[in-house]
Amino acid sequence: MRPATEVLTRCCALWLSQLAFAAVATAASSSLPENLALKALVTADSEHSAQYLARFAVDGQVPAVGSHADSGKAWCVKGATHRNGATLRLEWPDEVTVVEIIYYGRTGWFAEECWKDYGVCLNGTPQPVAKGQLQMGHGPQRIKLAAPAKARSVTLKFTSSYGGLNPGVSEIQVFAVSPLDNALPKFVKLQRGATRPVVDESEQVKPSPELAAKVKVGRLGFEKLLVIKRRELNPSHGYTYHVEGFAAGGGLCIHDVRTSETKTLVASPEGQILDCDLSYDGREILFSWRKKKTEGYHLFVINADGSGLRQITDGPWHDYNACWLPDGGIAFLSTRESRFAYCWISPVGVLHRMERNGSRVQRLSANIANDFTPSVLPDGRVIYSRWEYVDKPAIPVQSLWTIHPDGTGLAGYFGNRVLSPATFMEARAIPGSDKVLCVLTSHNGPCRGALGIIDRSRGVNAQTAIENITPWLRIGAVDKGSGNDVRGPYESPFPLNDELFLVSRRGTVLARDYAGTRMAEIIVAGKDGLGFYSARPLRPQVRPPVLNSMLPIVQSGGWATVVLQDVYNGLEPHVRRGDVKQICVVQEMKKEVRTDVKNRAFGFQFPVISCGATYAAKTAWGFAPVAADGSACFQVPAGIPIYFMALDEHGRALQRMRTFTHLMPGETQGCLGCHDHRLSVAPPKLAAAVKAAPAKLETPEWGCVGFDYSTVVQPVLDRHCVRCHNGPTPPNKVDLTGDKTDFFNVSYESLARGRKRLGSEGEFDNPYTNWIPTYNGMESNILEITPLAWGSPRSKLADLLLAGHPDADSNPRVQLSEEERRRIFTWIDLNVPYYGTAETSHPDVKGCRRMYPPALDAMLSSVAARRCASCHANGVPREVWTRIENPQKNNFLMAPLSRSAGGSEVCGKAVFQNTGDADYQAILKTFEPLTQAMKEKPRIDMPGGAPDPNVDRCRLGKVD
Amino acid sequence: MKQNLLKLGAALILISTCFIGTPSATAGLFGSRSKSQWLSPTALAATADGKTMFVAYATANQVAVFDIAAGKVARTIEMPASPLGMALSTDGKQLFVTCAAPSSSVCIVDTTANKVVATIPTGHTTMAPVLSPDGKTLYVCNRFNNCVSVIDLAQRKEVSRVSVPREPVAAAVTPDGKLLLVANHLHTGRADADVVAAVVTIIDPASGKVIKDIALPNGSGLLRDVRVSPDGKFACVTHVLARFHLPTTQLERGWMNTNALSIIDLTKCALFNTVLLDNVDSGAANPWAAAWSADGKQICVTHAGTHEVSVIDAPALLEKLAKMPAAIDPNAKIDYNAASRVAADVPNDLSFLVGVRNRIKLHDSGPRAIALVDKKIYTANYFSDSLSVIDQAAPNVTAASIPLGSKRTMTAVRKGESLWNDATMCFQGWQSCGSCHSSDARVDGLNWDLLNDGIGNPKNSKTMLLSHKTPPAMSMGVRDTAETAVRSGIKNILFAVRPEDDAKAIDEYLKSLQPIPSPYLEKGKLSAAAQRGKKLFADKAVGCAECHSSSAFTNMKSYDVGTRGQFDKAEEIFDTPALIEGWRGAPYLHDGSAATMRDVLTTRNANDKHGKTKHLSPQQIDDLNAYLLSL
Repeated sequence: MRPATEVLTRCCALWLSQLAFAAVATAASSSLPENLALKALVTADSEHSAQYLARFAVDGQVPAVGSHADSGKAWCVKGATHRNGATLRLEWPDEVTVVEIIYYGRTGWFAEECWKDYGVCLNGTPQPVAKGQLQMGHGPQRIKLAAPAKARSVTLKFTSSYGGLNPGVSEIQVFAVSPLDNALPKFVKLQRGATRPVVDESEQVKPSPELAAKVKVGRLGFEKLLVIKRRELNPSHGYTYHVEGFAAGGGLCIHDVRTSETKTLVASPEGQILDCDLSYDGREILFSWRKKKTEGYHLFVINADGSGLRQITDGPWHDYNACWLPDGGIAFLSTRESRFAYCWISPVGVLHRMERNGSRVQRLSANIANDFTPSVLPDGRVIYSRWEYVDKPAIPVQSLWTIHPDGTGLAGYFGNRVLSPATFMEARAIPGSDKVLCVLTSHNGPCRGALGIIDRSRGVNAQTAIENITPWLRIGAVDKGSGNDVRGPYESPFPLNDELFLVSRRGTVLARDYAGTRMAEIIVAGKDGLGFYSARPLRPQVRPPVLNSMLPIVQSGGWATVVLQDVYNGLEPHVRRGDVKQICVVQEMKKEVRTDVKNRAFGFQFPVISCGATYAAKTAWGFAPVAADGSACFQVPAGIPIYFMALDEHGRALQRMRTFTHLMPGETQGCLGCHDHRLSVAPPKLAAAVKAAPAKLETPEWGCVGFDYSTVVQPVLDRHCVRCHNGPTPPNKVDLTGDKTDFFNVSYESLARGRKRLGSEGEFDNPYTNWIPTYNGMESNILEITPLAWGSPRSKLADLLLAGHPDADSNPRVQLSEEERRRIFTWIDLNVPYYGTAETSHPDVKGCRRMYPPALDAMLSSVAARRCASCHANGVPREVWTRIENPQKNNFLMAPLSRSAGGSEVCGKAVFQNTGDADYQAILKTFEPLTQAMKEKPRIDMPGGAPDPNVDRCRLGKVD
Repeated sequence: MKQNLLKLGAALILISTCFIGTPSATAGLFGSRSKSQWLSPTALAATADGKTMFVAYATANQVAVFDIAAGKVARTIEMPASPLGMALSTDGKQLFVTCAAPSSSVCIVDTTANKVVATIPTGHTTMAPVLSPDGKTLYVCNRFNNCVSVIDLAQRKEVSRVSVPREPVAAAVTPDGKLLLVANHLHTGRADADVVAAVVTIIDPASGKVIKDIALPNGSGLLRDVRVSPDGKFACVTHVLARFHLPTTQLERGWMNTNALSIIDLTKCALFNTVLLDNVDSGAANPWAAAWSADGKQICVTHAGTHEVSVIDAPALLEKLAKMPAAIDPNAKIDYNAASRVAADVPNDLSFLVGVRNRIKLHDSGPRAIALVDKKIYTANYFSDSLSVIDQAAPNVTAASIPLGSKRTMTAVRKGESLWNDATMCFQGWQSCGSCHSSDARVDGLNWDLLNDGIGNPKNSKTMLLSHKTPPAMSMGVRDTAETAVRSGIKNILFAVRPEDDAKAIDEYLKSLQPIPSPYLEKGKLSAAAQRGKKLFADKAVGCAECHSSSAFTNMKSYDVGTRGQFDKAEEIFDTPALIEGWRGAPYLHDGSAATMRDVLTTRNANDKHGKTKHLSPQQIDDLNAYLLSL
């Protein structure tokens, strides 16, 4: 029986299996000749260590590129002495014939640890029989002798390297006969500073004259293509193409495949057309046009015959990536509200809709980071890409989502927990299937990349659901702190049918089959730098069904309803039935200010919200009851990004979403559970909570406001903890006072800020609170979705408060009320936010928050050099933070101060007998200007702190 | 208006008195239409030599003899009533055709002479004939008598009946003849229970006794077909698997109705498991006919709602099911990509068939029968009067269409019926109107919490019979007319925006529905008990007729009759339903809390608010019940 799978899958699978077969066949048909090096005695004039001996260069093992796993498998030199040259000598007991030597560079760590210039000498003679230059890269490089030579020894003299720390060799092979090409692995060039291969973007699918002929005579079902002519976009990130991609020239064109003539409908010599869409009747073209660099993209419509050009949006922002909706309206992205990605500077474009004439503009998406490239699926939903990073690092999560054209029914489609690739873009339905074709690309750099077919029925986060139909292009893996492994030339894919699609390869439009067996170039990119994009047949197409809007005609005042069948669906067995008592509804708050990336801190936070945990400020809207059967039915605020946390009886979050959803005003949506499987249907089970009217959220007793540590958590500490945890020597060195520090306050520094450093970015691992680090490099944590894995259930602080912080005799020392405990648990589970707002009073300082006396460091060094050097040769020990309120309590002033004068004398002796000491006063005095400045313009977490009125909120981004 | 209703009532009575008991000369499903211009192919039977395919035309009252090689109908044979099912004798010389009517018959066709050579009277709406392996016995389902007739072919007469729970519509026998399986279209219990599911009845043909009723998963209903594997080890059952427990807020991910294939392990006489035929983004609505290939390697299923055929790799499916553990291994690492971790997850898994099933689109409408001939799959397409053929040996496996009659523009009624059953007008093809109201616009016996009256108060699906004549619609009367309800249903249940013409056609179809005479009538007349019950019904001391007045048995007003159910919100009054065809409308009351009509009169009327029945003797309750079931 033939495999009972979908036809398309079968074709592709067949093709892949043929490839696999070819590879096996090759390996079988052509094996390496005998490698003489394996029999040689090997010595070198420098060996880095016992892990990198010369003999490891002839052990038959080639460590993978960038693997960090070459210990005991490669030779390298001591860089301090031999970075620019070394000698490797192979000797045999009996004479051997040498025709060719194959060199594999050392690429386990850095590309630069490869040798460059070399010479080969035989039998100890100084005159080289071969010399040349090696490339920086991974894999075999041939060193051929002019003629076969008899030798007892071969000496490889490396005379320069690519500059790496400890250059070396992964492997050396010596042959008496030249190996065939197909017996050797492929050599891959590497870039400087990376062990990522230089991507070979050249087309690997064979040109098909037959397909080209079919195109030419209109046998693909079209005679004309609608196409955009523009320059290539090379933005710094996948989400900045609307602000960084500008380059003038080109226009909107119609290409006749029969005559190969391209007619310009709209010329744009000073502007740039980004993309376009054709109405279902084939008569009207919708396109995004930035007429001048100083203006934003806006939407225009023109009739396909070139008449009736009209502009339908305007304003100091960008409207772009528009598509026609089945009901005649238009879906598009707009930056018309001031919002900026938390970790970047570009204005955020999110999904909107409007009528065909530009009226009734309505925001559909509540996203606070970017949406991308909407299009309509055959079932009438809109599919688009969405960037978000709720309690997770910012790089990997640009996944596919669907939404009804009225903004209801938002649902994850694919890839919200996928690390390879970082970004899915330009998803377009493949006719006659449930699959989409999309671009697989990076977080950074241009949006072009590899091409993939997504079959989400194979798992909405399954790597196996992604079929890379450009398999010669790697789609990378983000969990090493880089989303940038994908490089490829493809963008604007457009499926024609279940066999063929159009795509732009660096401006050349081609038709190709999904199976990768044939390809035909239709329009070739110009040599003037102008290429062709957004190609689609100029013809009517089937209009997807118009979906009925389930929204009430009279909208219900900004609220929507959620019906939850069983919260335990997805939590069991880690969470026991009966443990969940409430659902907490949390809003991710938008960042409406645009500041300079050079001010970033704690990863890419500017303004800083937390110590490397949550990027976004948050508001807990309140709590909804969960019935005994796990069901809940409750109202949620509409039109804003919200997520849910399942709370236990104490208010600890047993699970949180780590993504967000939104509902439209008046919408009612059901969900199955928390982290229920997205390919599952509701089990046949009643939901007790459905009986009653939807519950209104119980507002937190601290109010429905941006969660602000200073005003919500600190008062609890002040009441219960500070009486012990303060002063010169607080218990366990945990100071819980509310004095402000350079970024936060003292108790936050003690309870949240990390102590362990990871590379240049990471700083986490506080002993008292468990939180999800969001620094670059922490990406793999998006896969950790086990309930109870994060937050208060894993926090010592929560355990300690629930136990009453007992003393040695098990007597409780503190008794917090339930409300007070809940403030602390909620804070932990919101991923330890400090600031309750992304507004800033000081946009131009580090993290838009840092208050630090500029003269302090110099003064401290000077004093330390004179008075502390006997104990502290390298300067006095410092906390990573500095107290700016009550600066005399900083350890560098407390430790040297005598106990009698109020110090801690932790130095072991009183360096400062009293506070009258001139140096003591000089250090303290460095804080005075700061204290004064704080009085005049308090930081936003201080009483009187207010947003800077002059902060940049420009919705265009940088347009000069 | 009132006058008209009275006239209608008179007409109804006329129908019940005149037509019942006479083998219907009319086509379609009893008297609803005169012999139709439409063919409505509804059953297929292919000869073993692969040369001939018999096609039953449900509304033309004919069996067509289709020449497979020529690809066209060679001749047609007239039938006395709607031929809903066919079975061929092993030698291919006799074709047994069930001709459905209130008094049905089995016609024996001599396939050489192509004419009816014998007629055997059977029960009410006989269908699904199946031959014992020795060819001596024919079993047929009498749908509205809730029984199976055993016909001795030597004597050419019905020799016994075996009762089954409710509306048997399909049957199959194991190759050894030891088990007879019968699919019951609907469940028999209350609709407000935690578990509501139809059953497959297993009968021992030797003793004529029911061995077991195998319950399908909670929510199973609208069973259509049951087929036994060639090796006799498994049976598959097509049905809807309704998710009636939650408010109907959305359709994504099969939120309302899913479409299923249940596998029964015949060696254990137990349900093996149930798999969904839908995909995560596309429903496969209204699974209908099923067939195993002769080698047992394929199960083919038609989707009458989405006009498709599923071809399932049977050994792969069975192996995959057998591998599912019963319980989670607490030490095993969780595979977050697998929707099914244990066997119990499978009926809720929209991806279980990924990789073992091919879904083939037909270019016709309403495939309700399937037959496999060599490598070819044939379907009979009810609404497009055509066959579809899928050649699995072809390089591209696609469906071709073979028209059976001349192409005609559908009348509004026919179009309406076709749309009623068409899930392609629904968002993602999850369901059609007929997925809750069955293909003939009656009931599925389930409660649905529709949002038209807010969340809460799930209500029992109602028959559409007389709905246009008895406004308002919905048990809480939230739709002023059936016309409004039709349009609201398209929008809010199918999530579709459709042309007004579609709604009008559905109106016309629903208005054309005619009541089917009750199986409780005796020779077309009220039984003695029912006649006594009729008097009680009219008796003011009982009070039924006060509200259930008029010829349709409703005054179209709403009352508090003490029937507020356990899940209802604070709303006490409910619309008075019509009682015509009440015999097939169970369960009863707006919340489906009465499994039987007797419950309506007894346990569900404890406070005598819904008429006064407490004072009635058991005999009187019996009489009243008999009357109500005869309407």
